[in-house]
Amino acid sequence: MLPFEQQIIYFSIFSNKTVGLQYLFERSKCLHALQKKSEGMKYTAEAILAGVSAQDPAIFRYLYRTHGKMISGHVIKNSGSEEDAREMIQIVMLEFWNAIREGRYQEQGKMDQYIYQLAANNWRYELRRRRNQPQSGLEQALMTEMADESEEHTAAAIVKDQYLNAIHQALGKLETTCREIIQLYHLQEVNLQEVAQRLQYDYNNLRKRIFDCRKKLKKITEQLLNHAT
Amino acid sequence: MQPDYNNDFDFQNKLRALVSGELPTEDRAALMETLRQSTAAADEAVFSQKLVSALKHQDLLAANAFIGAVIAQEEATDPLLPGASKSKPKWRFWLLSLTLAGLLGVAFYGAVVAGWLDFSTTSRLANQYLTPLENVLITTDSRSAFAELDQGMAAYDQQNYQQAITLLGSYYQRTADVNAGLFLGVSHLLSGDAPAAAALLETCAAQADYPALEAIQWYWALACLKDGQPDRARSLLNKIPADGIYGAQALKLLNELPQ
Repeated sequence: MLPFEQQIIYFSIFSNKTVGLQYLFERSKCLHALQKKSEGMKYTAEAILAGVSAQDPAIFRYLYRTHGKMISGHVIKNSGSEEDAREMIQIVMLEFWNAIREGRYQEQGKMDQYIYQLAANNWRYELRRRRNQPQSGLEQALMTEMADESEEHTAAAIVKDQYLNAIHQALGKLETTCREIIQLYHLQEVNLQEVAQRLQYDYNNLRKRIFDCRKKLKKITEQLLNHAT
Repeated sequence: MQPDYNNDFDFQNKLRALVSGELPTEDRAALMETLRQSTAAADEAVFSQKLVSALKHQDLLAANAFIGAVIAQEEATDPLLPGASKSKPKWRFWLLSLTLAGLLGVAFYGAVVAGWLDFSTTSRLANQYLTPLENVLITTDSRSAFAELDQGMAAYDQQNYQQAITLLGSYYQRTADVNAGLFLGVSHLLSGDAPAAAALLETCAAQADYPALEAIQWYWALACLKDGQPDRARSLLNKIPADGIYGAQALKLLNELPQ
């Protein structure tokens, strides 16, 4: 196969010579081919950092292709299943995104090593977690503050927790006012009087509304979970 | 009857305080007891805790959803891991493998007997160099006169070379367009009919100019190699300009050709 740029030049001349036919480049096809080609090439570390921060799908596809085998290989070699390996690739990519976002990763030409380290640490943590007896469901759910349990392993908790992901998805399906009320009441811990003032709601109506919103959110979450299983 | 914990304002306020760690010890003990005794209350508590976590980590969850989608897309197109085979019983795997091996054996024997498989050095060399000519062309519009060409090129893109041969062949017969002839020749070559490819490309070469001629010469040379005519191939490869698009490949192939 010819280098793509050469083909473009080639065919642009070629088409002009055509007898009885006017050929034209299909712009989108060329762009698509160029995009594919660019995804196959090696990105610079700077391009990867910028792409990860901006959530550029091409960069994540590149990371998946270039590091996925190494991560899955490590997991499978160390008594993990293919399912574990798949999950670990996602954990490592999320952890890498988070590390860049929080400025914990500084590029010093050791990106491959860093990614390998993330995979090794997270898999070691997972094996340790599996060895330890879990607490009862309720105790575990309430006593451990999921994300703050260990900042290092937040990504793992996020990837694994289907319930959490379903709530996140359900929040997106909720109407804006409901989302705002829930956010203020549950996250920012604003008391209801103040929420009513901020959103210019009657206090008694709001009191009823917040529970309706919560109920609706729970219902959507359960539907999503049932759909997933 | 179970109390409605979702609408119990006092209970919900206590839950919120419990999740944020601000519930006084004595209230906490009482609430925990309620949670242990009532599944509905415990269910509400777990939901509250998860809800706060989901709100706290919205950006991470959004990124996770995004990354999950990218991985799923990649897995669907070109999976890194073998996948669901592990759940299938082993006997089925062996039975399938043996059947496949048997079928392949019969097909292989048939191909050798029919002369479709050629293991000569020149043919092997040609196969190493043979890649489809990329179609980056379309006609300016979809006028009915070009329907066969468009459909033929679509079949070519899908590597359905037999269909491409039928459609492009019909178009070529009608118009004698060398570009169509080139892709028709390449289709013949890729479908294993080297003599037909060589004959057609020879006709096209007589009407084409550079740089189209160069592509024709390249594929014609490969067709000759596959057809067991190394001298003819050598002569064609020598005609390809060294600084042309196929120049470097032609030179490399010439060096590899047995004298």
